[in-house]
Amino acid sequence: MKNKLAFNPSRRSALGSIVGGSMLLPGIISELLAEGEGPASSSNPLAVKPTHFSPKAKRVIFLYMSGGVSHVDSWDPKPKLFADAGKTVSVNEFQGRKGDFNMFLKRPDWEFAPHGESGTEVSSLFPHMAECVDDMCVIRSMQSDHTNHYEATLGIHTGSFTFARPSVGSWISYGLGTVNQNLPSFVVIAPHTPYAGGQVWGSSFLPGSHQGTLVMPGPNPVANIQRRAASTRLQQLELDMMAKMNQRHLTSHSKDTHLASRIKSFETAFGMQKEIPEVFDFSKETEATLNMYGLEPESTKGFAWQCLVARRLAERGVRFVELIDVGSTNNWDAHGNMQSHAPLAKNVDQAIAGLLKDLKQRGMLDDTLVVCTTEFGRTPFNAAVNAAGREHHHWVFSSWMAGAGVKSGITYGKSDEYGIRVAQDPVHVHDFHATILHLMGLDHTKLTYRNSGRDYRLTDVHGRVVHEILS
Amino acid sequence: MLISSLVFLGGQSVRADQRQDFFEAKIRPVLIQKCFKCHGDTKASGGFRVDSRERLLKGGDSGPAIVPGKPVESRLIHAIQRQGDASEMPPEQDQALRADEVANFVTWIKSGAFWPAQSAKFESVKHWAYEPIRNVDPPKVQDKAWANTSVDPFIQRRQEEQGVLHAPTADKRTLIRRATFDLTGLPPTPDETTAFIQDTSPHAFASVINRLLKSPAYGERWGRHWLDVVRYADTAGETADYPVPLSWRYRNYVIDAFNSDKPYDEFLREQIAGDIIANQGAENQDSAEKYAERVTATGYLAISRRFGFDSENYHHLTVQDTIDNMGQTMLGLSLGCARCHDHKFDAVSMQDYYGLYGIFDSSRYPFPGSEQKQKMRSMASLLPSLESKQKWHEYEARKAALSATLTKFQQPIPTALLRSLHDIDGDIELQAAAGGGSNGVLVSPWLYSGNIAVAIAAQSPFRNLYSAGRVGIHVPVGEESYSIQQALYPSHTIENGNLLYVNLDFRVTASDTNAQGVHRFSLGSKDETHAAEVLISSESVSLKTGEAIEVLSSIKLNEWHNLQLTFDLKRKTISGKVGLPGSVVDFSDKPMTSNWNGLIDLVTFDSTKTLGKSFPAIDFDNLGVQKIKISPVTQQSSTVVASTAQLDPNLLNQQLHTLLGNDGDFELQDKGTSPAHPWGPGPNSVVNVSTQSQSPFQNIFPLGKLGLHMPNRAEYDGVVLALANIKLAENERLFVNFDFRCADNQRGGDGSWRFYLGHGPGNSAAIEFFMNGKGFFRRTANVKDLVAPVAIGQWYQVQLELNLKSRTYTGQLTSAANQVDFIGQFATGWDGMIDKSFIDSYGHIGGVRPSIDTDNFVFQSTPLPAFNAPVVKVAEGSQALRRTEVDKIRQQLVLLQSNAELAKLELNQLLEDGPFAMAYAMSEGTPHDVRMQLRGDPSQLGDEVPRGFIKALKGSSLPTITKGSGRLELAQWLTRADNPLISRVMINRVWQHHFEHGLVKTSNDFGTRGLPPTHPDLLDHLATRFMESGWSVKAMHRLIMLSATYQQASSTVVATSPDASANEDVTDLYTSFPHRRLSAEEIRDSILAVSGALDTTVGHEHPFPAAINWGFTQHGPFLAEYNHNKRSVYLMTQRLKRHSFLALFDGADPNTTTTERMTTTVPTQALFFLNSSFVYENSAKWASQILASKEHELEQIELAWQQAYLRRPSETERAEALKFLKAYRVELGLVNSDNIESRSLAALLRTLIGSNEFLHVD
Repeated sequence: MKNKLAFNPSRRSALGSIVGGSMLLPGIISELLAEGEGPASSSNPLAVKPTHFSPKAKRVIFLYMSGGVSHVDSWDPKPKLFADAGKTVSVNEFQGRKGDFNMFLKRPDWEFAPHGESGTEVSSLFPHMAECVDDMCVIRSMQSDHTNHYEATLGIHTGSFTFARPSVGSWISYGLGTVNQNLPSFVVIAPHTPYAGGQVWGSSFLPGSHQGTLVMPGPNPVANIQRRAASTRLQQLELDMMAKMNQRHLTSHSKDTHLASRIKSFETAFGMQKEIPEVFDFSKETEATLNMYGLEPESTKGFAWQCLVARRLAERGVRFVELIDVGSTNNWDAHGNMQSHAPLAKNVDQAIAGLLKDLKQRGMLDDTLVVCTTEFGRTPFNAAVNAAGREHHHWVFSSWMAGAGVKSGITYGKSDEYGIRVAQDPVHVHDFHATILHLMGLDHTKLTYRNSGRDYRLTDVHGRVVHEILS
Repeated sequence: MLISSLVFLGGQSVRADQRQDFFEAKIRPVLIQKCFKCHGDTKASGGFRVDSRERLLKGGDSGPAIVPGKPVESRLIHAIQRQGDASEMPPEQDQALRADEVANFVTWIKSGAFWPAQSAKFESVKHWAYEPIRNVDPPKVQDKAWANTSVDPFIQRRQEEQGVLHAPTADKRTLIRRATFDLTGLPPTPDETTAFIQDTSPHAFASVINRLLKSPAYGERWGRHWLDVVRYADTAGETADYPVPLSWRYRNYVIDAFNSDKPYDEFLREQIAGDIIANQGAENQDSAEKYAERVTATGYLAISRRFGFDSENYHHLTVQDTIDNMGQTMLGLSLGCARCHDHKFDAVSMQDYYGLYGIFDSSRYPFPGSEQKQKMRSMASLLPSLESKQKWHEYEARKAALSATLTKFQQPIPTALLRSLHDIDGDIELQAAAGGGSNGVLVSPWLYSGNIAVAIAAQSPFRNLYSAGRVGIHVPVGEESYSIQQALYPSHTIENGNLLYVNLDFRVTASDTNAQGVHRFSLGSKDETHAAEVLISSESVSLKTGEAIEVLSSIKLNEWHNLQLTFDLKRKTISGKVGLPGSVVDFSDKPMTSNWNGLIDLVTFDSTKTLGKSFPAIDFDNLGVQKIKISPVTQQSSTVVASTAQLDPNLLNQQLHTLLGNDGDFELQDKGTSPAHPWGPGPNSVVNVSTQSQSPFQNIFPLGKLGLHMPNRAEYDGVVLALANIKLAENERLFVNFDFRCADNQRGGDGSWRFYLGHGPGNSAAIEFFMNGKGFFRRTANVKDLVAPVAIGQWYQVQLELNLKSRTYTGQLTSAANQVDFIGQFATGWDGMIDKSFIDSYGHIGGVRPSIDTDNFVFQSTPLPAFNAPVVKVAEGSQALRRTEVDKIRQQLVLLQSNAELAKLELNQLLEDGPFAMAYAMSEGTPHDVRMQLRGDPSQLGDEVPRGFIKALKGSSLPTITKGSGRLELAQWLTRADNPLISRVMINRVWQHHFEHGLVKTSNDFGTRGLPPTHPDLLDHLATRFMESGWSVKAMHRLIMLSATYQQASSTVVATSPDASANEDVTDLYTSFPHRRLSAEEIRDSILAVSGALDTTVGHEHPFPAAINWGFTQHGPFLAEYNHNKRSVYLMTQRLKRHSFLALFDGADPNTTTTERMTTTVPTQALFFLNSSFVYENSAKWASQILASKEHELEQIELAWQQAYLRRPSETERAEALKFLKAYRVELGLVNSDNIESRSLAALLRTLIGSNEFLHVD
């Protein structure tokens, strides 16, 4: 079997493996096992739940490039934009303001060339990712609803451009639960705060256990993960004492299932203290692997570190891993000069390519969906003829998907000759979300949550599964 | 047929409302979700709409859609079955109806296609929650011994019906712990517990409840429940999440309201219309506290979320948030859906929605600041309006005085921060001109229509009323159908003073002589009786009163004019003046319009629409309407600078300049110091006036004692001279002299100095020369080259003659040894201006440079004495005299400078403090009705709807809004005795917070989509008692908590009756008390309480950064957590980033209403108990307290158990604890720990803190 994952995602065996690892209270765990059957287990909101239909993907790695990556400089080749640079086009809206504007076309800063057997064209901005195009489906007709970072960032994460709603990762955690109870179901690795802040991985009205657990690259990636007791033995004494008291308490409160799961949570926490540092401990990774990601040994800096952590989390059964490359500053928001894309691309290019190659060689790409997106593209035109940057552009931009259930080596959708509007097969953010849920075995119209008298969905009342890109 | 097809609905007989339920549950939602998009009221594809039965019967282009009773013949069925010849509907395959949905349509048509009303817009729906509250007596029960209060029989009746038993009464320890957490959110103390256990009187529990209800902690707990529902936060929630420093006042108002048991109806009225009620109270001599309290209450509306980059451009979303929250919080109704369409399920129409919208849109929300407009403003005054007006004027005057002081020193003036309401936005400074994310149109408190703009060019130059601003209103050429309005609040009548003063600046610009259109400025009342109208044409300004028009004065095009009107409201006459400074026409005793109704509460700018006339452009600024007299027009600030009035810094500077000239020989400077005025060192300079730097040359100045010395350093700013009075007429020449020597080059390096002359610093140099230890270089055009080599230690004189017209220069570099002539061109980037000269280290060669001495600088328009000209002699005595004079002026300037510094400090403080205490609260705006926003899009407007209420809930009658926004009427209408919802919704919340769930479990949704009450009679009984008690929440606590139902043992410890049906949800039967986990706040407060660390004082404002420094953006939003040991309700909570602790333990979501706290169990919570510094620090504190009071280990354990669990440890627990402590000490010894005794006890206490018994309530 190519897939060497250590877990089997059926609920009983998942729980069984936890029982096997339980140091403290096997009795309690067996009770948990007995009552926790069925998708609506009240004691464990993260219990594995059945999918709506057979899924292609078991987990998602969601790569988010913050600030708005220029599509016409990266994934969407526009020969006419090279040819007609300096000429004017007329648009009826500019940066959210209505009106008739004459704009100057700006030449892309990076040349395009076909790559791989598929011949998908990628610019020289991403030389490493270009090597992986045969594993990708590049979508060149993405659409968002808002021209501002805050709203567009919220939109690509939650499907709502205005109000805080559950993030896509929270919906998937809510819909599917998690197979590794020692780790959160939804992990976000972000070196800085993105636009719209924690709402981006918030669970909003969904139960709080579905919110993303934030990992900040650095010495202390997860809050309170570092054992404060001076030795493991000391901590075990404390846990043991607490467990005895809790067990006695449980005997007199046997009907409250929540109490049992709370006892369990201390075991998980204890396990996390070990497992989380293990996730971040790359000492067993080979030099070849580190090289593939372009990761300096011992370094926790940069997207390469985030990508390798993502693979290690995916291996351990984390359902949804989101990586945010930078934050709300010093990002892809290249108003001043497109050349600021260069160092940002360098940060992510080899790392992402490494991640794809690594997943593939481990057989994990067969059941892992990798998604790469940004909140919007950048204008192919500018108000000034010699402007060096580009503005926000939500009418069309590019994203890609790779891995489980997605056709590889194809492109989908087209922008117009200059990359200004969608010309063919639009993929709105809602469609994008519907497709991700579909690949995870969830029907976006059925994955609902009742809040304030209304059933909410990730895709609101919209969304179309882009069947054309499904393998 | 009808009956048979509907049996699955569960009834044996079919009533009309079952058909209706079926329609509402199964048909209408599908029609709306799947069909409306194309066949709704905005788009009727195929000529066909599905929004009424009639339209379905009529069908579209291909014939009728439905045939009632005959699904097989109904095209609608063919379409949704995707069979037959009808088009497949909906066209998208993945939108296709499910089989069960299709079956429902078949059933529906078969049974006659029932449609609830004759149209889609139904105005009354029969639904239990909209029915009047019934005064229900407790039902008869079999076991009469159980009931304690009238609550019990209702509960007992259903238990008896279901054959289940109630639980026994809880023990006293459990009861007091339950009651104390329920009412205060804190654990009881061991002493309180003992006292209750020992109190054997029948009223023991009642006494406990009364004691708890009197504790201030009660309001902190129950206020928090309310704050959850109203999504309280300390930040605004727009893209940069601006802090709202005044938000806390509303938070404390809520806490105080619960503590004082403010009648609930009054509580609601104050939150909707407290400011209006306060003003009525002020007229009735209510106390100042009462006034402030009521105004503060409207913080409820003010804390509505803000959105976007420029939140005023997204104000419609804020109003939407207000309506959503008010519906859910107060009425238990989701009104939000009606923003885009008539409510699918509940009786709320778009008409209703926009009727409410108009009310809030006519109100002024305070502005918290946003990325686009970083200053907060429009805060509400906590003083009655007349008093606050007075203080406001004092504040403005003080602000103007301080600003004037700063202006004199050309120091930046902080922009005003807080603008209170009760004052019109007359200088337009609250508005932003277009740019950034702003559209440059007027926003609240103004209303406008037409093509007008806020423009920088429309700023009036006059300062008789306001200090200098930035913007005014511009009405462009040809604009004739505009209208700009603002309501005056409170209104001006004869009752609040005889005289009313009005000020307005305007300027007419006409591009052609045919611009004959007339603009109008009018004051009066909303019902269109003007007190007076001022007509402004391109030729004259006239006064119109009734039909009479009288020309007051002619006007000059393109010139700003000032108009002042004084209304004598008693005599009904107008006097005034109009004109430009120095040319003012007075007029007096003109009659006011005869049919004027005695009220002035609206100003309007518009045009007298005249057919065929073209309109000149007009600018307006500085509108004032006040009871205080207005100064005559002037371009000077009206306010005198008090403390520095006798000294004029401009004058002093001028005198100094005359005395010093350029001070080019430095003889008036002080030895050993940095050069003073007119020279100034750069920010990183080491420049001294030095005796070793005296030039030996005497052709320009007499031989002196001083020059300038700059040591040899790599890089720093040199010395600058601001040149005044240099005329740059094209034919003029400029003559320049300076002497220099490179004194030594001990540190090596070829770095050069730069001599600069131009409009700099920056690129616009006219000429530049460079000196290092080796050469003298010139710049000609953009080329730098060597003029001549120089020697270290040798003095040189540079003389230049600049031809400003040809942009060329000639020069000589002369030393005792020789002379070099050179010529050059000005730098190509020069912009035509020369006002600065300096020497700095930014020469053309970098690195360490020699030290340099310079002297004898001259810049003049007449030729200079040549190098070999005769020696200039010093005039006897004149130097000393000048020196004395200069010293005197310098001292005065220093004094003024320090006054400016003080003024700056005072101004900052003044701006922080504001004119009076303020709240983040509401005020009245300009009353108006709004147009419906089609599909919720504010750019697509439908019909205008009058402000109003929800018609289906109208009760006996709908009040009419006669004046103001309508909030007062809304508040009264909401809290009227026959509103069935208010009382039910609140009593349900009270019940919910005692029993985990409400009788209606969807406590924010009493509509048709919510769950029905489990005990409808009890709900109505409680609602009745609630109103009878005078809306006393505390009375309801007593009623509920004294019940036997409340005092039952906990759910998890009692088995329910064996006969209970296995499927019955026993929680609905209240056969025991629900066991619950503590909320986030209770967890934190309990840990602090048992550790002895809890600070029980009331929290006030948060330590936000000073508002004048704010500049938060979406790239750098506001982010902070402020820790303290006060109760958790006083923690600062943000919208963009949730508080880390509160978020971890399921705290409220401050973005949206939280009806019920969830209880999640995640390992990160366990990590908090295992490893957080909070738990470690507090367990250590607790341990040290126990160690200080108890010597023996067993006593320590005993006390810990008492404090944590309010009980003694069992034998087993005692033994386990002893064993734990022993083992822990051994292990600590192994890791060489210090303080082993306290550390091991703290560890034991941590296990108590983390235990389920500590964190749960039975």
